[in-house]
Amino acid sequence: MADLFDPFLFKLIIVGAIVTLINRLAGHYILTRFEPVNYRVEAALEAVPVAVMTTLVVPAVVNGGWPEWLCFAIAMILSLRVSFTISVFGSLVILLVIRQFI
Amino acid sequence: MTSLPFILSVFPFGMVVGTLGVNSGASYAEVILQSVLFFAGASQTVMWELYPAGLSLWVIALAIFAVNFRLVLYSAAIGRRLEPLSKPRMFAALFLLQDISLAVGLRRADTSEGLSWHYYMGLSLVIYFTWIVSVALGAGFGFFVSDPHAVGLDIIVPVYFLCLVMGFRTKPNAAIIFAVSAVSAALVFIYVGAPYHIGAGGLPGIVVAAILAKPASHNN
Repeated sequence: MADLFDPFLFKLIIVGAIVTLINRLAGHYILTRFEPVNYRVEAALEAVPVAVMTTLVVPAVVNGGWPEWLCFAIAMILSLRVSFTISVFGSLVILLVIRQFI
Repeated sequence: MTSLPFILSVFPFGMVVGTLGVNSGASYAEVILQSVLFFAGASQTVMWELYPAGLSLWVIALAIFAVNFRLVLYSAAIGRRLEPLSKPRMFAALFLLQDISLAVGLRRADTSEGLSWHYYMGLSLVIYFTWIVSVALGAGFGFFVSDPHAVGLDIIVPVYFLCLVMGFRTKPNAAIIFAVSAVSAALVFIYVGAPYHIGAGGLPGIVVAAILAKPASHNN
């Protein structure tokens, strides 16, 4: 134990794990105190995946150039027509081909 | 089989986190323990970046909380779709909550089959064990790709999230929420920096959704 784990790092991992667990539990258990939710809260919760996951794409768009922008545009267009998996890997393959040539 | 694209996107990310941990001076046991207990890649990355800097424990803990703040929103959004559940089952479900389980789980909840605890746990556990194995491999062997750019490692996760977002395009006001979040996240990312673009970018989109909401929308 003593040589496997540095005391500070072990404490940091435990505290970090607790903090992360609080994040995961808080949303649900705070919300259940306010049931039933009104229609505006309902709409806000429905918006969570679109609103939050969009922000996870943003750094790659800001840091990227035209090949990356083209890849994202193709991914969005493919998503309208074909399955999730084909959209992800189809747009990715196109980007990789472009990167081979520039 | 439906888990395959998720595994493919999780694996390289896990290997990077494992390598990063060992390079920050942690033992294999510490790197694996972190993945077993955190199961949250972005915050694990942040912790390994801050740890060698000699900051105080509470400063690093605050950074972990900030990076994982989106999980508070995820938890509120999916918890009620899993109800009614016993306390231990809800605890297990929320412990395993991350981006993929949220997106796939909410999509499932809107289908005629609905979102069962078993479906949610099956998906989440596959991702959980894939994560631990990929981190362990990254810690053990290191992660050396001669040119990460050429194999698209920088872009697979964002493309993946973009396609997850597209799956929600039929939700009310999805395009407006998407646009508001994208613009506000870009501004925060450029002028303030990561990870604040996630919370500060996502909240305006959520607020707009609440403002545009119409009462008696019990159609789904």
